[in-house]
Amino acid sequence: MENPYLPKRVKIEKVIDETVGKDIKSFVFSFIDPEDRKAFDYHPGQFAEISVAGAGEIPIGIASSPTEGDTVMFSVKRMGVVTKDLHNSSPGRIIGLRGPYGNGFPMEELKGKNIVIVGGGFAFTTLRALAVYLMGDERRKDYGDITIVYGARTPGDLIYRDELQEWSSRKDLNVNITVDRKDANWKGIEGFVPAVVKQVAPDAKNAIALVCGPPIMIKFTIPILFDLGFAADKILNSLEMRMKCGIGKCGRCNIGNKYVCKDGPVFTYAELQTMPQEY
Amino acid sequence: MDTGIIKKTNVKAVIESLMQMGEVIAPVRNEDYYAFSPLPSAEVACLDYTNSKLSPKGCFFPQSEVLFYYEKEGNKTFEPPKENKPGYLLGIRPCDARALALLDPIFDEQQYKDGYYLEKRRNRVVIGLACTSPQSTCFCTSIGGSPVDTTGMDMLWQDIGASGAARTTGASGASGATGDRYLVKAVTGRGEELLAQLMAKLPLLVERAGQEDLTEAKEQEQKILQKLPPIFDADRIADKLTSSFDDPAWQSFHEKCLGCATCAFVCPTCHCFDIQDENKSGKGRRVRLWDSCQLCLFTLHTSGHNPRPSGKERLRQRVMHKFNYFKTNNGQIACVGCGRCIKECPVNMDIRQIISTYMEGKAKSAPGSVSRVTG
Repeated sequence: MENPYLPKRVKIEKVIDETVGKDIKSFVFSFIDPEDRKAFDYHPGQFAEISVAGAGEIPIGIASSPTEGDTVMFSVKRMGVVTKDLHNSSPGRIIGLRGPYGNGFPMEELKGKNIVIVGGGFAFTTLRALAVYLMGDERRKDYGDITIVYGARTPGDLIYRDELQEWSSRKDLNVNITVDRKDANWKGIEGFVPAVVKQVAPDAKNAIALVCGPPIMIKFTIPILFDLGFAADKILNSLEMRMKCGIGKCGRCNIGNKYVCKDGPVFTYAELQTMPQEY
Repeated sequence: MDTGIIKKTNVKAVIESLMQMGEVIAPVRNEDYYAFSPLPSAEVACLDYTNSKLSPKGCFFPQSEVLFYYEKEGNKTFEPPKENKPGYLLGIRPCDARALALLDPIFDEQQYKDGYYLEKRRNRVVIGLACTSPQSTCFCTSIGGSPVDTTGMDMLWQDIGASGAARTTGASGASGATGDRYLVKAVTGRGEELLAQLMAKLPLLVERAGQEDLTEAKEQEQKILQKLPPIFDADRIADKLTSSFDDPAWQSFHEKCLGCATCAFVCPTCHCFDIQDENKSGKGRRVRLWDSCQLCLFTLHTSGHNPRPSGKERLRQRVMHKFNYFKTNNGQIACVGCGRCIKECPVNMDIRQIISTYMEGKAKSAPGSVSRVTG
């Protein structure tokens, strides 16, 4: 019987400072045992438990796309005991990983649709995985228009900045990067994410919107998507909860009878409307 | 299913025989309460008891359990050795055995099997003990159980016979155990196997039950059931609660709650746990520990946000999980009516009363009138 609590060993291949404030770093892992990588069969929107022996475990969304090879990437904000320990790591360190967990984005349902990706701040990680997956050469033709609206407080808080620049130059993507407050060097859009969504006004026809960000951003974005004609079951959110086991047993991440770790973390807005407001 | 008879005078010898076959965990008197504990000798087993202070769920889901050992350097992990020795859990009450049947789908779920729990379930034969005298806090009949329910057991012992024989003697007085013998009923294949084993090994001590024994057991059952009439209808509880999430009565219910989580720790069906690392100079162990939705840190995010910020949300979570969410997900209510949460609560919170309030639809009309009454 496979022990679901036992982390697999992974090596930190690369550490990337994502923000100017250095509070968010991306970690690229490779599995020590290639069999473990094969078993780690994931798709965008799923998460995993990163384990640092002696510090503990944290559930973190997977920021890489399964199409990016054998390494797996996570972007982690320095917050508590485990993330601090992780932030102090250098390439070469071996830590633990178990997963993938959660439902992830409904990849089959997205096929043939126009995709609207709306992200705010640090919550862009699994959306990045999705964007990379969708825009891959062999797969881009399977989807209609792809619109991305991503914002952060300041230009220095934007993550994946080099990639965003690269995406902006592509003709087959509509990329809109915004900041709440610009600085002297910022030449792009200034404004809150909901306002930019309103301006960009993606067509709701045959479209699905995926929205991840701070609660305040989601709160103001949803009505705008409704105005644009998006139905509640065509708006997807990914939720965060305090978790321990990640496999539906330890009992702390439930919202009503749904467990965010197993039934989520991705829920349609229609589903969220039927669930207690306890998240 | 096969049935046998064990005279009380022979119980010690039967337990000794079980101890030869494996570890026997049974209720033991501990100053002023009873606790399930591995028996050092047969005579310390106390079957004339009411119920244990902590439920015996810890025999399968311990309060603290090592998941694995680790070396920090290189994140090497080492699983604890598998025990795999046979054992017997003797004297568990029907409510607590029923709780095991409720925990099974959590740990034996299709996708992620919890080997730590399952291994102990596989190795330990569950021998139940029917109740003879319910306590004032018991309400198993209200939630679909019964003092002679066999759910979750491999074998049931029922106290029958010679009424009055032991009524006034010592410790047995507390439990009202009156009989001179146990009717032994095999419930599962494993139970039948054990009964056959005992009958073969101890032919003079474990006899085959006769018709009069069965009749007496039936009469006894009726007598107990009369003492414990249902106070609400289990089938309707979940539906009644569905619409109560935003009811103002939760506010008054929670006001006297201290958030101490005693209710969850004594509860046989509460299964929430925490996972923590314990370090000792470069090495350590990852352990899981009982945790509770009643504690304020349970859902607190590192950011400071807490989806259940006050006692109101936390008490509601406990009640809703047991009586509504669990039923939706697993088809049954996750309460067995053992009454421990009522008995041990330092401020006399009574879950029967919370349920009754919603069952009678009184919550909305009289939110303030229910917070000081006790069961």
